[in-house]
Amino acid sequence: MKIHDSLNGALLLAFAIAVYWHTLGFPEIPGDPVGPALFPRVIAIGMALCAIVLIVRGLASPGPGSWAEIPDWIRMPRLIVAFALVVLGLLVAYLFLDKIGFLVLAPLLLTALMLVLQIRTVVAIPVAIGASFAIHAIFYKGLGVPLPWGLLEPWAW
Amino acid sequence: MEAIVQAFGLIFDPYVLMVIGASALYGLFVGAIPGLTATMATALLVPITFFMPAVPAVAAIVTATAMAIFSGDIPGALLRIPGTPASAAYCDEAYAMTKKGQAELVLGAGLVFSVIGGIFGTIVLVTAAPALADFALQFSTFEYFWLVLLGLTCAVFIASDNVIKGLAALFIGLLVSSVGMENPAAHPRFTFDAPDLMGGVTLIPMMVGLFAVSEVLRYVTSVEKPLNLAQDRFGSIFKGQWGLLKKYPVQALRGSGLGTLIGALPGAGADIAAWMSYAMSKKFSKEPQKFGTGHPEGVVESGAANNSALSGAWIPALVFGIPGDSITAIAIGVLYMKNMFPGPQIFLENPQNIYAVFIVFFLANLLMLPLGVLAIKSYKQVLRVSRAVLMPVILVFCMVGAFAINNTQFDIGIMLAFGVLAFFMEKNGFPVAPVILGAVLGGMLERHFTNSIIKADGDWTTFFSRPIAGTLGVVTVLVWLLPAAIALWKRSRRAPQ
Repeated sequence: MKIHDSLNGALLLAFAIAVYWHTLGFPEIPGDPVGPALFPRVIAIGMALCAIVLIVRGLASPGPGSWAEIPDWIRMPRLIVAFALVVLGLLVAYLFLDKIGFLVLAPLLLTALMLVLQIRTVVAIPVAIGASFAIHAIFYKGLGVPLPWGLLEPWAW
Repeated sequence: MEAIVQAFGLIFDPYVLMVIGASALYGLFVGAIPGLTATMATALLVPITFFMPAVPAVAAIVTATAMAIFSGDIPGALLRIPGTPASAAYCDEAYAMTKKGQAELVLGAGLVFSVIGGIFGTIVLVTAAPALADFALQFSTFEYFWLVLLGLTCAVFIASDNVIKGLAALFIGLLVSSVGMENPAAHPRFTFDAPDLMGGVTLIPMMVGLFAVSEVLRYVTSVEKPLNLAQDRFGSIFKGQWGLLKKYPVQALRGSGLGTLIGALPGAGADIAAWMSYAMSKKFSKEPQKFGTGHPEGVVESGAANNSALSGAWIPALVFGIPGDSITAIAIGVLYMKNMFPGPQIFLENPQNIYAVFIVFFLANLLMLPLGVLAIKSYKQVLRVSRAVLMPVILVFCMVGAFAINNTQFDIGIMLAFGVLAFFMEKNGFPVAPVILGAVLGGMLERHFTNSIIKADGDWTTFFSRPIAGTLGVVTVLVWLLPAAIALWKRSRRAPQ
């Protein structure tokens, strides 16, 4: 998704202001001439300057007038679903991996994504299950990473 | 001498050799698949290397990246799609040679001159790094402050085509580095009372997000075109290579030299080395009109350049802890986790580890010859692995990899956030490499600055009063002023007309 450079600049400027505003709450440390606020403040000011240049240049350039270019993939529902699956899949993992369990979430996510990417069901399901178990074996057994069992807790090995 | 013997012992250990062999095959595979980059190969490797001792961990990264940069040439020549961005510079040229029936010659040139460039870069690394380290022993926080700043400056002003967007990306990275309590004042910054952020943003999930999740997002939002191999059976790969070397010795040497230099500059890596070398080759060629029509000269020069850049990037990384490209930025993140802090002291305290890294470079580049032929000959089989299957599996691997660093789901969220960020940054023309450089170097920059100011008792002029620090400072400021000077010069030249 490509948006106009002056919009990019505006977003960056808003972010820089928020950062600077947040640093106002940082304390002065006695005996420390620099303190925790200086470094982030310099960054915020630098960011704001970049943002202003982007805004000014963006508005000055004749270029295409649209504020946002709608990318091709937005018109293809299959690709939107694929994008959403990747983001939502990781979001669910971030929030609920411990509740659901790796060996439940991974095969479901893999199957869904492969089906959306037009892999045949007879291939997708076995590959999804096989890959999930293989990754589980490498990390859980091989490297000792405590991947959560979640729903499968009673059958953990 | 004892250290060198020790280093050989470290490398010629069955476990380490196995790691090198496996990473070589892995690197060749990743590089050869269009859409999977060498940087992504490194980012995906990191969660595994996290569980290894320092030497095999670095060996894995060095070997995999060297192989991936070479094997990126294969789809360039056979599909007209560069396997990694480092092969993009001469992709059309290589494909044109294949169309002329010279597939073996161009693939062989890619392989042979990758090895030559890699070995050249390694020799420079081996000779320059210890000497520089010796010199760097006298450096204090003032010099380090300027070095880090100069490194970041080069990353933005030399390596990105849009300085403002590169700077913005750098500031995002620096801001990331300021999260958490690990700052000189030990005040929790931008943590929003989340205990997971007290130690800062964990670098590895961030890197996996920036370089792997973003690629997956890019893949799933693109319409896949069928891959049509221009040729799938090959004769002798090495036939004619000796002839090329005899015809273009200067080009091979110049490409290797420029590549090493570009690699050693912070922020600029193999991709830029290849583009610059290709342009240089054309400029100095006796037959520039042949470029673009399937002429091996540019392939020789830039093929050597991208592999030599890989070795060059390790010079500042090992000596100063300042990464030369995004791959070494990731590698430095790994070394930190192993409590192996790159810098001149490491050459004194643990020289065997440094020598071991050097040996790996030679080994990886020599291993490339037989394995490279294997990769070319079996390329048809490699392509049968569907990317529509591979990408989802990579995604799940990323998820587990991010989780595994601290055994926390929080890091999956970090990875997701940076994956989405990198995806949108790339779409809007913001380079991603400065983000990672800023995040890796921001802590160092602030620490050296604070320590220097305390030492100088608040006297700012001290930053310029030591000879080396002063020189570095002046150079840094000059690089800042360079774009403005060029713009003014262009304007003054245009004005009289």
